[in-house]
Amino acid sequence: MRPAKQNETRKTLGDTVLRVNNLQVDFETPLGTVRAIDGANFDLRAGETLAILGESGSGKSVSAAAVMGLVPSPPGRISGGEVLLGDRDLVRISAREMRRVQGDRIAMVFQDAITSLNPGLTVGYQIAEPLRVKQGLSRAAARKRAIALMERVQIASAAQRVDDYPHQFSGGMSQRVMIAMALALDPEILIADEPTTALDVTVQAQIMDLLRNLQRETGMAIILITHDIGVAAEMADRVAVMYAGRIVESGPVQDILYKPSHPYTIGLMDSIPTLEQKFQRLRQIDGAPPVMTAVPKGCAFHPRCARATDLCRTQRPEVVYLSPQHGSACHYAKEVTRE
Amino acid sequence: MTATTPASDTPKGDERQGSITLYHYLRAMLRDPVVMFSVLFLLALLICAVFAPWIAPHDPMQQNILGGQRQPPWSEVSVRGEVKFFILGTDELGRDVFSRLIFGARVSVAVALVGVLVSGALGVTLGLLAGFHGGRVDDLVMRAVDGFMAIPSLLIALFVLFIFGGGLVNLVLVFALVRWMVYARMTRGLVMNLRESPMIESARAVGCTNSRIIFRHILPNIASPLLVLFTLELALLILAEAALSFLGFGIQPPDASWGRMISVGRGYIREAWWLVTLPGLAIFLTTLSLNLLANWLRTVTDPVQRWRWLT
Amino acid sequence: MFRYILRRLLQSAILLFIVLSVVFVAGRSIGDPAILILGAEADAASVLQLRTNLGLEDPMLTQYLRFLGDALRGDLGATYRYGMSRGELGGGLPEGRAALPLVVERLPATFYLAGVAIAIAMIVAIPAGILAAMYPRSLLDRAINVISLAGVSVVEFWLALMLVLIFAVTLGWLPTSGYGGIAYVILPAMALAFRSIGRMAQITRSAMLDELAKPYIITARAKGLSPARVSLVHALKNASVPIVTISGDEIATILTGVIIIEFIFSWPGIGQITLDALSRRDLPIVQASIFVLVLIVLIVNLLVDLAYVILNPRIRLR
Repeated sequence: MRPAKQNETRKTLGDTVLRVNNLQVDFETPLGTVRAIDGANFDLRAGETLAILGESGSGKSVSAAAVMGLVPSPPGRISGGEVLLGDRDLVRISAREMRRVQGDRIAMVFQDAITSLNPGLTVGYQIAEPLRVKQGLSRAAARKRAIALMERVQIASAAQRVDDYPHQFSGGMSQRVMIAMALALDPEILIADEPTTALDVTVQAQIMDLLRNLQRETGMAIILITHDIGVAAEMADRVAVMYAGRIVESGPVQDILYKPSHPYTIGLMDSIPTLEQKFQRLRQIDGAPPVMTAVPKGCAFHPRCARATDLCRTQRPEVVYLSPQHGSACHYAKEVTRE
Repeated sequence: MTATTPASDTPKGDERQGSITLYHYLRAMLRDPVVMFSVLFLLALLICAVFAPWIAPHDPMQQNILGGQRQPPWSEVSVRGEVKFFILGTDELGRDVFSRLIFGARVSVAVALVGVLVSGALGVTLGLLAGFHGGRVDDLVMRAVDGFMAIPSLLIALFVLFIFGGGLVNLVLVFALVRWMVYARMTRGLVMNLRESPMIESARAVGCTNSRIIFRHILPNIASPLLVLFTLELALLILAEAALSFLGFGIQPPDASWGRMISVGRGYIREAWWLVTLPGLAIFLTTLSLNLLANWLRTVTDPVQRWRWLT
Repeated sequence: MFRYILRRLLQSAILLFIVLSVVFVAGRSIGDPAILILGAEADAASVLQLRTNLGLEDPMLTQYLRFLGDALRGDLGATYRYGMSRGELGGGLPEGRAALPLVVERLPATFYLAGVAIAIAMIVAIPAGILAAMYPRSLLDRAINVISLAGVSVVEFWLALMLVLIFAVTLGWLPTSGYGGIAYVILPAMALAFRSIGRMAQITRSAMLDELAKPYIITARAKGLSPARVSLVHALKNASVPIVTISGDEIATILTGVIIIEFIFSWPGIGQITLDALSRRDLPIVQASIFVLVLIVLIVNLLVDLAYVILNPRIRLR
């Protein structure tokens, strides 16, 4: 699923900054080893936004954690594959080297900003901390930079709020603080793990705007982890759809939206409410995502797939390329289309 | 269904606990040698306490000045031509330390057990009242709890024993006075949580009386955390009895408790180390066993963790 | 916040009042002070004389109000025994020194011993608990489990006697008892600190583990901070609330545990004079020591509450 460069995308694409090859992540549980990520491949180019789309438990957050070097261990373990940042494999470098990547080159914004900020430290301290620790800035200089960063993420009267504690901020404001914190060291890559899920719809839009503007200013690449196909459609240049620890379809956002070629992606598209079908019942994908301790053989989606055949039940599908950039891991990728 | 339907097909009262029986607990205990040792030690101690006169090799009061301060582990003394063996030595008056320890166990265990029962009954009752009725009763009980918690227990105990004198009965009463709040606070918290639960609300909705709700629905559900607390408090009261008796405010002569034995032995610490060491070791092993048992009870009765231990 | 402090102060004052009243009422029941002072063989005339002088012939309510009034001025009566002298109380009857100063002048010795014990406990337990949380299942982690289990299972006075037996009697390294410099304070302080070490280490460990499992720790790690910084700055800042609370509890525990330890080591502190007064039935000294000890524990509790408020921005800034 590694498409060649093409000129049809909206932005001029930069060089590949991150390349994930055949990533495998295992978790030890009382019921045995669970493979949370089973051979994921994706890459990320400078200045673009890649959305990783999937339900909870599909492995999308674990892939973000794996890239960040944050897979909780134990019980988790990266059991195979590589995460290449430039020519360095982040899976194999030492913890000490990884800490020079975290924050400096790849930064992360988390889902629930309120609990993801330290309640006992002022937001100014938390934003300035990487500058103080990693760049050796003085307290005063770091504080000044913290205020500038807060202004950059449009927190009003930043100079007064810099000494406030997280509980004095609303959810949306907390998320802005998180973003300011992530921007402190000018990372090349920002991983945003469901950055707006916990927020009101209007605040969601503001945060998304903010991320888009910041991306334009800094040229950083964004990996957006989301379960919301609408968010992905709005923000992403490319989309990778995850199901049961595997990427089942990936490609430019237009291809995924208008020419989905995996039954699961089609199911997701069908479950979006639209204005035209206001009075119809929403369609849903029958069944539930698999329990990760008992992923079905063959194509993991087959129990829920209307088109499933014996082939699907026994053979794990390889990626079929519909265009150089658009791949689908379905035996019948060329035939399935959205009605 | 026919008349031969096996009993297991009938719905059980509590599905969650349906399959866990005493057998599972016993099996889990057998798998944990430390806990098993603790339980065996406590059982042996209980037997010693109950059957002390039959188990003790000698009369614990039998003095023999000539055979005093004999060292363990084994000493022979000829008493009126008859050779006697003393496995844990003799004290300053030639009394058998082992027998005295066994009789001491009787006093220490009895005081602690009765103390726990009395303070527990008082505390649980007040906690139930406070938690169940709330409002002013709750206010009053919790104020008293806070007040008693703020004053060091040892100080209250010493003062009360100073006024009323030591002895078995007064010790038990003092324990009730200084420990009831622990039970009251815990019971109240547990009841408060339960009171709002759908289970109690539905019991109320079908018209259960208060006493039925308390005895059938609340008490069974708070029994296991209370059991853990009782075990921990038992250990604590054994220590407290020892300390008060050591200071001369608890068990009075001629009764021998472990604390008093240490108190007397202290005078001979230079010549007879075992007179201080052995009773203290008895206390230590008893409370250690109780604490280990409490930890184990806590894990096996925890609804989240217990499947791992019991299955 | 100030209203909160005011309310706590008021509660403490009420509690002290109740304690004093109970002590007064109960104290009347241990026997006639005049006989306690003069001895059982004293003649009836001097007993009556002394009773009149002490105001014991007045109605109970008058006596109680006088007791409370005196107590407000810091007068908790005069000792029946310590440093008795033939005074001007009348009729050449003996007069004791005021009880409260007698007790208060024992405080430095008690604070010295308790202070060393608390310092030992905190210096050992808190770092040990933090390290155990940072390295779960390590040797240190298991050692803390064993020590705290032993700590709650061992009785202080026996531990003290065992320390004396080993380090003083057998090895002869340290004195068996008495008041003085470092050599004298080591054994009693260790005996006092042992229980607290186990409990404090355990609480510190579980408070740190609780904090280390929270989402903000992942944020801190995602910033590329060192494990030491994540634990010691991010987690410890929030774990400090339970750690301070348990430290306060342990200070209060050590301040009462000191009673027995002082008795064993003949340490001339407040515990020793309290036990002494109890066995000699010297009621004014008993009253004064109870008053002083309860007051100290209340102050410690108040300080802990204050620290709790200060350490917790969510409460402080409301």
